[in-house]
Amino acid sequence: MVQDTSLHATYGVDEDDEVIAEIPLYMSNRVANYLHIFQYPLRAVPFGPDSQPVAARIKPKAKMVELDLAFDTPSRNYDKDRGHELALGTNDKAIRTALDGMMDVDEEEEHDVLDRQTLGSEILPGNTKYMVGVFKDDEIHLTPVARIMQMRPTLRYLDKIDDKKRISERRIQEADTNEEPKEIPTKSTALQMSMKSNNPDAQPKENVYSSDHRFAEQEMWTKLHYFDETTDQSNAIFDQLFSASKDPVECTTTASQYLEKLSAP
Amino acid sequence: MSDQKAPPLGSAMRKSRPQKPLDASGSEAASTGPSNVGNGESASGTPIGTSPRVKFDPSIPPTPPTTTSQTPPATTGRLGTLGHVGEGSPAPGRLGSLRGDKVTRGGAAKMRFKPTAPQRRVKREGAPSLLEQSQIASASASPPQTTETTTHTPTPSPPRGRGRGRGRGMDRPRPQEAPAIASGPFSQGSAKTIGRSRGATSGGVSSISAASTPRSKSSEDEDENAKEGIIQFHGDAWAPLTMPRDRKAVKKEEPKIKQEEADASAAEEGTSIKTEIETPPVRDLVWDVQSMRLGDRSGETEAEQSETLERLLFFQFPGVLPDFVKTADKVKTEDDAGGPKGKVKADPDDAMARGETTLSSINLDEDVKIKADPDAPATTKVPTARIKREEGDFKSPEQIAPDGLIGKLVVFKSGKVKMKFGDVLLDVTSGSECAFLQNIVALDTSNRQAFVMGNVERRFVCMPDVEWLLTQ
Repeated sequence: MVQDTSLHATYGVDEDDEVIAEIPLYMSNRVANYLHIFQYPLRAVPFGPDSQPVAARIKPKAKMVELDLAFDTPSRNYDKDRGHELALGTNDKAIRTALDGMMDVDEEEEHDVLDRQTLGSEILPGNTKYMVGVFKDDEIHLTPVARIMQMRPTLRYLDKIDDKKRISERRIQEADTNEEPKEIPTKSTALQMSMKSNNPDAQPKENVYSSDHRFAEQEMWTKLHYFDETTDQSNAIFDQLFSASKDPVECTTTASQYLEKLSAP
Repeated sequence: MSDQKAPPLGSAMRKSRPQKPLDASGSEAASTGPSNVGNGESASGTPIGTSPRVKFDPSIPPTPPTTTSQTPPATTGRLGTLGHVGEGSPAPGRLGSLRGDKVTRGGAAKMRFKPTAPQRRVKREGAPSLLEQSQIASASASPPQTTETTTHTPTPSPPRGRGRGRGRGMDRPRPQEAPAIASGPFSQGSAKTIGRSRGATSGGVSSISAASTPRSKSSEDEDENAKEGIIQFHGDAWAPLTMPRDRKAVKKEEPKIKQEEADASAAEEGTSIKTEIETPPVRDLVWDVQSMRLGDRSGETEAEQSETLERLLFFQFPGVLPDFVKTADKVKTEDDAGGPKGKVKADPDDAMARGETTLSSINLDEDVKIKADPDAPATTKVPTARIKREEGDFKSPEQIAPDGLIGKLVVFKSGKVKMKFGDVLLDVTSGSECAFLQNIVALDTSNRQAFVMGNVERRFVCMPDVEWLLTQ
């Protein structure tokens, strides 16, 4: 069989087309299981030398990562008053209420401002294969990506402030109600609750989501060492993105087989 | 036996107290009495190091049960053992305390502190972290550079991240002991200081911006620094240093520049780097062509276009990819799997290539179930210790192809771009424009380390060229 080596036969392009470049593709697996894409949807600029994350945490089992980015608190654009208000979300001091009386504000408290923003990760579900290619010296070295994480700000300080407010309100309420004599119920009634389900024979569904979520909540954050792209360590690993060998790897799937693979189940 | 070791810290505390031979723990008071006659160890002649006999003397408050020479620690913490040590009794001829030296005045058992070496966090045997593997690999690949960098250790140098004073830029990483990570603007001290100290040595810090963002230099210092390719923000000592984007170029330039230390200049570096870029002319053209179809490069300055030596690209591939097999192993792979199923065997190259992925499951199965592969230990020749799944490790996806040349990317004049893997053709188009930041990070969960490779510059989507496939 005379092989048709025309461009059209090989690549499906018009005959008058020209090949400008042929770039070899290499596969590299050395970093494959570790490679992640971190997307920062709310951030347009890359991290610079003075805007790198200042802290990082990870929950290895739950596969969650948190990064802390510092705010530029001395900047003119930083609202110190608001920062001060929000600083309540960063410490564990209870909100002072009228019950606590007037105390001197600590020196530190005055300067306490919200100085960092925490980005939390979320895994993007992916149904397809992603790879990172390093293009260098007219070669592309592909490494498969393990997963994609999106980093979004977690506004935990707001939650914390809400909690504190609730607690302080409750304290105030209790202080008020304590002045009235409480009626202790002398009778105790047994409450019975039963869950009725449409299908009593069905197995109780295990709420998979909640158990996963629960485990994730229970897992502790451990410190993650973050090496930015300028470090030696990152450079060393960057070198691993290149393929270990240049030996040819044969593709054993023919065109028709591939079509079948694509079209089955 | 604990008391036969060199006297640990606990016993040091006891030096002030008279020592008696160890004939019975907790019963020194009775040592002179007749009850000890049967011990065979008299109060006078017994050296301190001998093991005591257990002697139950009801007249003395009960000592804790571990009074044998073996001292199972009551608590074995990281720091040491709080043991009820049956060690050292007062010297011969001296009276010990009536209650014995194991018992406090209150009658409670006295705990002796015996420090033990702190246990390091247990690492899997034989499983170097990703970082360690990489460093070993790169060290073995380029010895001259390694020696250079070690001599630079005292010199803070931004592209190497050494001497940042944060204990991080060491050859052997110790993750559990690494201090804070922040690489803020102050991490290297004054920019001027760094510039000066780097003058004679690692002049290879040619920052990319050197060419693209020329700044007016008024002071002599800045002139000097500019010669070495360092950009200084005018007048601001705390301003960030610009980092070179091309790591390899910097490293390669190093030996050359070291030789020409005396006349190191930005101009020279600029040209030498540029020649490296210019040698493969087709690459720029490729990018131009691709950009015309796939993206808009007009925003970049001319300097930036010619400077980049490494680009990180993001490819989206179809979920189903063809199978790949190392040509050398093709013969071997026709075992029970049969047919197009390729089983990647471990041959020397493979092992080297894959040996470093500690968790890769080696089977290429048709079903895309990710599971703890029971076959993994059998089929892989990688040391089994590496296959162990540790808690918190991400499950590894199956390997798409072994390391090596798998295909080629072809760019046409018409702007079409195709990828060819053997018989399979894929269409490559530009991916959606992402205005936001995307970082490529190598995340080593078991060792709690994250390494940023860089930013994704372009996205591409690869789809099977079904039209063409149908004609085959």
